[in-house]
Amino acid sequence: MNHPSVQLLVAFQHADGQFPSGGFAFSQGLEASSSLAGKLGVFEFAGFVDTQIRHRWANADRVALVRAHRLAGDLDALAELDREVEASTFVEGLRSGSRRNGTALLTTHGRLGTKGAAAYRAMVRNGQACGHLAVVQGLVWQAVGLDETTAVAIGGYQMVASLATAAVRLGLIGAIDAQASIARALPEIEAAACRPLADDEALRSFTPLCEIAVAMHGTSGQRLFSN
Amino acid sequence: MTSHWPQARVAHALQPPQSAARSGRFELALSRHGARTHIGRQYVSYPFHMTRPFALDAAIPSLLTVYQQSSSGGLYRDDRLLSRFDVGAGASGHVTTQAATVVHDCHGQPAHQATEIVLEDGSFLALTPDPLVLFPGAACSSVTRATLAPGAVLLLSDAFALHDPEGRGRPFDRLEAKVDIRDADGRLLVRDNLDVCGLQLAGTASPIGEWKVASNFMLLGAPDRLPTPDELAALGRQERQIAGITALPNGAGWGVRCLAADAIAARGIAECLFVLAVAAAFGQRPVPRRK
Repeated sequence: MNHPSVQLLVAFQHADGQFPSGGFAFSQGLEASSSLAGKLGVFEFAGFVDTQIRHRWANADRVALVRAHRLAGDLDALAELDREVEASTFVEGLRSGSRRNGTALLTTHGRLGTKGAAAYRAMVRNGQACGHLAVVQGLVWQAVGLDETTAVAIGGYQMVASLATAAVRLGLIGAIDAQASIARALPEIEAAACRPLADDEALRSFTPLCEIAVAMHGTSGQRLFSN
Repeated sequence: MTSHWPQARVAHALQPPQSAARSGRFELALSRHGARTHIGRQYVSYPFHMTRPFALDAAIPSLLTVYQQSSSGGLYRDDRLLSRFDVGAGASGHVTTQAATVVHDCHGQPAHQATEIVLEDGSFLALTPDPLVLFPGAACSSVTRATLAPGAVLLLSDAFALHDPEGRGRPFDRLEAKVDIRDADGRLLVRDNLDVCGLQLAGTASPIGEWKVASNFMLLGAPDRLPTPDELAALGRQERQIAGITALPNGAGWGVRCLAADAIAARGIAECLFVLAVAAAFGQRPVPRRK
């Protein structure tokens, strides 16, 4: 009989929705896109998820996560990457959301004693680093011993799972549909994660419809999520 | 070819062309003399063409307008086109095109465009070409790099439209665009990169939905020479268009993402933003540009 590896169990721990990552407060433009559907055009949750995987996560968030993981705890280099992520995130609502979400994850890992987390948290406080989510994920998941492939898998899974959770809270889909949506998205994540990345690969994204929604939504006082 | 420019700037970001590829350059240096801006050095080679510069705005004598024209029928496979704009301290320019640029079927060999912009203290440049029209099989790769000195203002627009002349919905091949904005010390302020295939813009997962024209604008520079959020809020309120206005990273200025149902609606947003940019920078509205 085979026994589960510790690394697999560690991956479960950090991928678990119960892990206090702070992600519950963010919808990555889902709330804005769905609530403005009448003005922006037809909204369909599965299509939104596919767009986020192909045109944002695959070539932006994943790239930042992988590059951060490869920096293996070099905090100054991570801060430089963090500044690149800041410059590469066009819309303020998504930019600030990524920073806040990353800082929340960093705070949790600081309390858990994850190597480098407290020091990097101090750099964020001092304005030496931005604390973007994908950079922090790369930092802390490398520090707890997860390999690059596993870290990418968790990042992709959490992105889709958090969208599905947000969709349920917004009343767009039910809990069963949410799980069906996640299942449909998993092969897309695998396909997106297959493309090799260079150590200095620039971030790319193309989600204008979602970005317009977030920018328009930024002026609305009636919302459930931060972005 | 028109050349009043030393031949030293050939080295640039473009990859070596295949044999028989067209390599064109359009390079201008604008400088301020008294109340007016003049063209200093210039180099224009085929397929680019430039007539004389225009002083269209009597109320803004420092604002020079140049139409960047092409004597070919658009962009073709493996074209290598370089534009460079050096705007001296206090000088002001508006560089635009007369019409949209068709990108033809490139048969797997993308057309390449590179644009280098250097803005010195207190200068102004509005670089507002009409959209690329991506025909079936079109492939285009563009790189834009801009450096802004303190007090400079840059309006940068970049747009594309989808069009199949036979109305069969055939997609373009690929569009790749890289934009880097840096300050005078070389610090990266904004990076906006995209890479999208035509097939990805069909179906429910299209990042532009049902819209036909996608436009990006950046209005960069000194805050006291940029429009206010209230002034920008008017964008995208017309029919057949939507716009999202955002503060850019690192306090670089304003970004505007737009989607439009057709070229007329897209042009409306572009013209409105140009008027707002000029009015904020000079205190006077520009006259309409004839196209």
